[in-house]
Amino acid sequence: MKRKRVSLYIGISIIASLLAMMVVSLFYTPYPVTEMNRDERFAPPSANHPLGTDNFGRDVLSRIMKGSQTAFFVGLIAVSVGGLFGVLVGAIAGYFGGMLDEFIMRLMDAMMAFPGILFALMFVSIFGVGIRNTIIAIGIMSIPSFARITRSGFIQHKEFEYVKNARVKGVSNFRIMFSHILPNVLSPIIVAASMGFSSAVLSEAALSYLGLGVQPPDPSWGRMLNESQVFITLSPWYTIAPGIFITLIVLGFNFLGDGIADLQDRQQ
Amino acid sequence: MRDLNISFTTAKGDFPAVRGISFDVGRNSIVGLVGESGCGKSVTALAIMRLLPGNARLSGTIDFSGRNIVAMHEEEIRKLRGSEISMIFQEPLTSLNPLWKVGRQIDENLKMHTELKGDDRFQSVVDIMRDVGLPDPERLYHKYPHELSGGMRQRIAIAIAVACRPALIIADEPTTALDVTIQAQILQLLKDINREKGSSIIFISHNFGIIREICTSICVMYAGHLVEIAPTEKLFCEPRHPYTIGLMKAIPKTDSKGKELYDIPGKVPSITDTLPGCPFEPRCEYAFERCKRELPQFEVLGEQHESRCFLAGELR
Amino acid sequence: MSGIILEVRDLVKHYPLRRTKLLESPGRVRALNGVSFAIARGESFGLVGESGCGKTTAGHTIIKLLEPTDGKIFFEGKDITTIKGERLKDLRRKIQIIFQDTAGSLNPRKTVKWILSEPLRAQGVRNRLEIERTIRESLELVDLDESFLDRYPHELSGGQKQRIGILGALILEPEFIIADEPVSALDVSIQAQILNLMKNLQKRLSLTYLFISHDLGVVHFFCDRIAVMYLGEIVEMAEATELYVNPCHPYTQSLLSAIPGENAASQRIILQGDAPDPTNPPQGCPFHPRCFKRMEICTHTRPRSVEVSKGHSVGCHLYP
Repeated sequence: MKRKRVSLYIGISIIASLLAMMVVSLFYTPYPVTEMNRDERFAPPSANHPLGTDNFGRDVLSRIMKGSQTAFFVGLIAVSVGGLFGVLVGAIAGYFGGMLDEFIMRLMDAMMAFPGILFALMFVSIFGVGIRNTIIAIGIMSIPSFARITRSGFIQHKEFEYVKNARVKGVSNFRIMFSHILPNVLSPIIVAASMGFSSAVLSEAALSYLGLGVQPPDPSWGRMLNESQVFITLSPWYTIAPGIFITLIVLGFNFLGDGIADLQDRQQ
Repeated sequence: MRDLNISFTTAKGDFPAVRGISFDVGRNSIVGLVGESGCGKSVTALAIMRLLPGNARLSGTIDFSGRNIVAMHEEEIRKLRGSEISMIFQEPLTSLNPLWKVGRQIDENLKMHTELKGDDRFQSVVDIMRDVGLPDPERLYHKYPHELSGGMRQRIAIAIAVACRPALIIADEPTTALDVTIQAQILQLLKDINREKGSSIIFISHNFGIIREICTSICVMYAGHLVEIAPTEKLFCEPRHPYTIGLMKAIPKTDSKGKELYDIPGKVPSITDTLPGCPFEPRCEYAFERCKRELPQFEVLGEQHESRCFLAGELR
Repeated sequence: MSGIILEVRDLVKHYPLRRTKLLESPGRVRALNGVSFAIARGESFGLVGESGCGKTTAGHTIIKLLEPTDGKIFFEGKDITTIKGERLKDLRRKIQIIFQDTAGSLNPRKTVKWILSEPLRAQGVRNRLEIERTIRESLELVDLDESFLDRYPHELSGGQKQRIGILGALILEPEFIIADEPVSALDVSIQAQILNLMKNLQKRLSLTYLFISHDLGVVHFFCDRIAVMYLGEIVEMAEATELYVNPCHPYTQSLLSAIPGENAASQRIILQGDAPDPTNPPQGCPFHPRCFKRMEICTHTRPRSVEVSKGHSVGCHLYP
């Protein structure tokens, strides 16, 4: 039985560490992020610079730390936006059924048919690059999966007697949906949120790598990847560091999501 | 069955589900196991088939035609399942495989336990289906469970169970999920099978009416214990345990109208409450001091009639 | 104040099935096919039948969980068939329902106190203290104490959950209660407790019951009058004891005879064939395919309901 908790613990450890790093970075980084030092360009990892320096002599560790703020910020807002609309739309589709359900789900199908990155690219090319549009694009991309999960939960619970009871006692539809049913459907939504977070971070990294996401001077691991790839032979640690951290945060949220799902299974 | 004890080992400790059960099932008899939820009747049935989950611990003996089921290896018991002892469950929708044709599910049993092949086997299946009252069996063979009604599904489950003419059939609430008119058909079918094919039946139910209808003798269970055993009519005319008496009074009968039903106060203990004395003592209107401390032994009251109560001889 | 509290006239409810073939219009489940009855104030009226007979549909339609396809419903003389909005909200204070105790009968994520507060909040009671007071005072109606308020449904036994269900129905002080299989999922000893409780509440609070069940024994015990349903129609209706002693409709006779343990084997009527299919009801009398007294006329003409003695009506060609 204990085996199953491993995912959860790994996930929690990774995310907690990265979160701690992010919080610290709000107040302190070993070096100012933009401070350039021509003498220390491409320095390998050392006591002074645990992750080395980049082509401008900037401390890589500090930039990674700052980049974590973007990763968490984009992830949080995008998942919240996508989650909020997705849950709302899925709840309405699942609870009311009929033509409304058909219409909404076909819309979701259309959204899912579009490759996410393509959609994001389209969005930023129309509305412009930058952190705000990146968040919106990624948020929109995550709506369908939240909608589906919420909808199936609502379809199931709608038939339970506690819902019929609530209707018969005169409780309004809105209240039934969000006070009565939603707390019961929350578990799979939370798992989706965790997975959504990691997918959002990955998408942001991809967009920023392509130069279409977060713009300078805002830090981003994805953009660091782009900037560093030219110098891979001169300073491999500059490339490796953002790659490792992107991997870590994605793994962390995936383990967390898995772990929470396992926990729910066991409760059943 | 002699002194059967079943307990479940969990992270929170060991919980006894069935304690010291002993009863006999004679040839051609139909023995009823009756009791409310949590009494352990289903667990007892599963124990006979050795179908309990891995964390179940059994002790005592279950003697089946000279062999002790409790001590058997998995391969030995597997040979018995479906051929000499078979089981019918409450909900045919979940006990049948939804992805196989119903005929195939009966066929599977024959394939595993007999030497019949090809056309002979198909014909056997059709004959069995006809025996259990299914119309147009050649056509029905190819249907899937969801295409049949509840009553027909249960007949398929029965067909699977009787395919190899088992000596013992265990029926766990086989009619509870069925309408009362269909239930009457199925009960008649089971009686016919018992009479014509000579299979003994252990019939589990919480419904005294059904038990009275079909069983030759009855075991009443409460909280994992056997509290009374008697031949059917004896139990109904002269119940000798406070629980049996209370249950019979609680069932609405034709003459109950207008009066208050007798209700046994309190509720069934959960598996985590284990008392040293009689399990029914907290709810028993006849209980006295000794009942709290000591578990009563069986008092023999006549031919095949036993009751696990200190007052068995005096209750009316 | 006596008189008729609820009247149902020619109630019809058909559900369309999902469209499975593109060019064929979907079939319909004919759950209710013209059901009529009247319940007097203070009475316990039983609706009994097997699965697919429409008894639950009838209950749900009266309580306005479903919209009838046709027919009328009258409560205290007023037409409530298409009632909406504020008037519907007021109706909720008068008619309530108790459901079967199943896994989903109470909201698993909410405490008993929250569950009991919802009906009051839905009626506009905002004051938390007032809600709490009302709940505390009404707990004794169902023999529960305050310790239950903070518990969750999974911590309750079947009987306790059903008491909460009953209390939830009573908290708005209704006059008329529909009980939809209220004891079917309970153990025999708990069943007795709940039936006794419901009877006592009826006396204390002057309630009228519509008692829906498949268990004829329980219905006979509890109800003053009983209507037997088959495939969406009432086939027989009579005072409880009269129905038991003098069942006229062949279906009622087989239903009574099928009750296990109460009849000698020689008297048992065992119906052939399967439970009927509400999407494809037979022509003529709905029961004729399984009827052991079937005549030629039964296969093409629907029988009318005829009164065979005072208060006892049957819909069968044996009684023209």
